[in-house]
Amino acid sequence: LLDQHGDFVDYASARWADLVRSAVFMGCSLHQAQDLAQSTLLRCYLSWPKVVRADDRDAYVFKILVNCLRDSYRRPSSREMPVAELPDHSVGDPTEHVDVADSVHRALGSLSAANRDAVVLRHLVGLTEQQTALALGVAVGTVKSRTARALAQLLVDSHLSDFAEGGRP
Amino acid sequence: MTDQLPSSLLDLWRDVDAGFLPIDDLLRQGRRVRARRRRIVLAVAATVIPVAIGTGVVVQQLSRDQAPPATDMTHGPTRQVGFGAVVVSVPDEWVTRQPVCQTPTEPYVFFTSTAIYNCPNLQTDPTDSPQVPSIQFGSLVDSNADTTTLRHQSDQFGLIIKHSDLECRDWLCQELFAADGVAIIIRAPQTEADELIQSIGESIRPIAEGHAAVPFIEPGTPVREGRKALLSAGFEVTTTRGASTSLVLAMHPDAGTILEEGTTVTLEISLD
Repeated sequence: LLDQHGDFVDYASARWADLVRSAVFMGCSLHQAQDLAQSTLLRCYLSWPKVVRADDRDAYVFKILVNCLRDSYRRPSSREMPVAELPDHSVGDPTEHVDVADSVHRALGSLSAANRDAVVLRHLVGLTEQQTALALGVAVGTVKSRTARALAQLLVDSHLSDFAEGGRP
Repeated sequence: MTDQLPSSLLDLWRDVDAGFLPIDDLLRQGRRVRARRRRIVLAVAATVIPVAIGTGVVVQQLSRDQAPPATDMTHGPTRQVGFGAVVVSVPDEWVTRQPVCQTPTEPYVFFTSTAIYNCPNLQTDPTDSPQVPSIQFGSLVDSNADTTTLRHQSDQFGLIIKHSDLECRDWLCQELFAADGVAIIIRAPQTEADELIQSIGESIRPIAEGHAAVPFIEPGTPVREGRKALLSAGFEVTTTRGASTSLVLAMHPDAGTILEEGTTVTLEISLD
């Protein structure tokens, strides 16, 4: 089975961490982020030929992520899925993940959602301005102005200064 | 610009433990969704194919005034819905008779007599627009449908069908079809859009000879105008009251129902 979906599996493995981290930086908890990344990759899997044909695969996939995120805001019930069997493996210390996500949210708390999403995709995921514009469905100029505003705010943000000086609280 | 990003933010980025990609779960879930899609496609095809094969037979039956009522054309989970001279097979559960301009919460079939986006509740902030699958019917001439995006054309059951590319936004995808002066916008969830919209689009065909679709008459329309529209479509009209100055509240059967010409449609009207 894995061989039949080799391209998809390779791509999903390569982008999984970026998708989860992006979702966390866009306001999700870690578990929500993992669900969101999984939903994104499921949509990719179901339309894989279309993803392959897309002019810019990364922009296309992160656009799906952004759409899934907006969708999840409208349908809170979709964030939790009942499962037939509970996992029987250890999940480690969940408070550690909460700390990281909480630190991220406080660090980016001063940004508007639009500016935050732009700076996450452009400077943390590493998409180009063109890719970011495609993913967010806005003009390249809008990406430039949003990231510029976001970076300017981050430079004077006291939360980030605290992190830089003392590490995570 | 990249070097202006605070390094502490990059540290936080690296600190997020993404965990393992649940690839087996993902593939299993994908197979389940695909299987469900196939079932929907087969269900729609079960309606479309017999209709395609039997169109000639149906026309012959109609010419002998032995046409079956519209409900006989329904197979399985789909239903025939008509507008103007065009009929479409739609999933049965989508025909929920939602009141016009009330934000729907379930799949629905929506008719409009003028601009296809003229419903105030449906054109406010896009984030507030109804996130449910739907089919909207409207007059192509009167609608705001963007016909410049209609790039594809095919001859289907003797009807010229023009349509746009699949356009996805948020979790919904939509495609605009135009046929014989009718604009049809089909919206479906992204996970099912490809097959579902294609199947519904491929079911568009002319209404069989001797039959007509009950026209959409917007509630509040003067009875005189409602009667005129129904007579023009080939139906007989009766009203729940005799006053001709009243307004239409509803009609029976509903808009979109395919009936033999000459069938009586009842207008429910208001008090003077």
